[in-house]
Amino acid sequence: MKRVYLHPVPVRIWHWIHALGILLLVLTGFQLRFADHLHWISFRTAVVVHAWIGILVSLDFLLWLGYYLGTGKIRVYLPRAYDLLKGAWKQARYYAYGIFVGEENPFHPEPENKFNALQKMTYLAIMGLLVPLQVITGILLLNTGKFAGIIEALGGLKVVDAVHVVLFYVFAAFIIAHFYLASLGPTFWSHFKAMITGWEEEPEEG
Amino acid sequence: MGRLALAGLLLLGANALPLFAVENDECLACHSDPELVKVLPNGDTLSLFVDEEKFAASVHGINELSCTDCHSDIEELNYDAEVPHPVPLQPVDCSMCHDEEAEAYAQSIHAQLREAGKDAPSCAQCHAYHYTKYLYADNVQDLENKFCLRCHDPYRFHAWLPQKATHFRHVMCTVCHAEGVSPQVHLRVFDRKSDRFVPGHELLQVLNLSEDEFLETYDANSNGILDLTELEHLKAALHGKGIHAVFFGEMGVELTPEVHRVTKAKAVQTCESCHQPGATNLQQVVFVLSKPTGEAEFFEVDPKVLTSPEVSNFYLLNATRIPLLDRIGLVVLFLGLAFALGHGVLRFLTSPLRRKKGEKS
Repeated sequence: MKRVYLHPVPVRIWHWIHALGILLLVLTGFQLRFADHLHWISFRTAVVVHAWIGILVSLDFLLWLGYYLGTGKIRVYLPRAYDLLKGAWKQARYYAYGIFVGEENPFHPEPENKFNALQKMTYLAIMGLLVPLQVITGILLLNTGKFAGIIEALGGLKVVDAVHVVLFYVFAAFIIAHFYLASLGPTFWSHFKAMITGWEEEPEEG
Repeated sequence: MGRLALAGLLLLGANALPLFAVENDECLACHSDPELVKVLPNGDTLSLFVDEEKFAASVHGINELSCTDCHSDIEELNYDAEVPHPVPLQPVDCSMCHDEEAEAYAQSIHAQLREAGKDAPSCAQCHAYHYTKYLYADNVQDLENKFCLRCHDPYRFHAWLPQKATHFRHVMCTVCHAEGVSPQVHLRVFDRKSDRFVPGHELLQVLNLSEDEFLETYDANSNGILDLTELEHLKAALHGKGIHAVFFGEMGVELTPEVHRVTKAKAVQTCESCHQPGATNLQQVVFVLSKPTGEAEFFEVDPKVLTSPEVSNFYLLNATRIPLLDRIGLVVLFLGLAFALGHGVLRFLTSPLRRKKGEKS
């Protein structure tokens, strides 16, 4: 096994705040949306906790954005021409077939190119579009009185909330898929450990 | 209610009042003088002027009450005296007609404070002495500006309450602060184009309808309840007339005497009173047509409209969730779970293949 330093400290801090935050947001989100069926915590507590964690995750998003833009490393999220077709196809074929028959993963992460083609597309969509959209709708819903004008301009409270709710389900589903995919490293815990230590273990080539 | 009592009083008055009842004109002979004042013991002056026109336009004026119906301790005028009636007059007892309102008020924090000698409103502080009006308004904020917000700053209290601005703007204080009231959702038309609530009389004018014709025209199935399809027709008709209508919901109460039973200690502090599907507070939905007189007409609406995207500006977390979104959410969650489980199971089932390949190499 060779070791590659993939995740610098700011990235790991961001990731784990984000992970814990999103998990709690999803749980409190379910409590808020189905308070008639779920009774984990009181409705009011869920409102307050959801709001504060939402603010924390929004600030955490700014940490991510600041770090990746500031260091220029945002490039790791940008698919190259190769990734769009050939890279994506090879990676999809690996997940759909190769992984089952014992083929080698066609992608080998490096610090400057740490995501495979499918990861780049997925993470770019999530961090570049879905998370900002969730942060914006969340901030609007945080104080519906103060932001009444903007909410009205966007089509009303139900429209803004609908976007927030659909994305909430997308993130809930993402957590499941993300956790599963994270277990597909050389060993079950490889990727989890890498996100704690920063060092990814990679099988020696050949 | 008050009006019945009023009718009773008037009927009774024909027999019970003295033969030569004091006419309003006699009172106004002096009290129409804007400079008529009484000097109070502390040196302040109290105006005793009554604006005849304003009184005539008041609820009591419209109902042709005489001055002595309220100032009932004046039985006759003695023009030989400096002031031709007893001085000071007894405080007016509104409960002579408004008995149910007075009973509810007597149990309020306002009445309790007054009994304890504190400064708190009696009837006149909200309803005015001689110029009592119907006080309904085009929206909750305008209504509360006429009542509670004249004295109370809600931001000084309610530390526990999330979304303060929205609650204070769109929930009548009495929904939580009056015991025994019947909360209801008040749907009104908000015009996106002019960015304001459209008063009921303006709506009727635009639609060229009278009050009676309104329900006849839009309650297509004549069941006395406006449903979603019927509201959509109303919206379409308003769009045709240049009003970009959206149905804006606010939490109000049925205007019954109980609104006077204002409470602080027993105020509702449970979010679930409203934020729960099927909450009692959401069972009554009415479409409101306000009038310039301060009165309003209320038309029953099918509560199902609250979970429709059509009522885009009434969203109570949890309570009025749109079921379609949860069906979409369920599919999304299922896809995530199916991917993880399906792929995992396939990996498990194909593990002999990989072992075999490992042995070969």
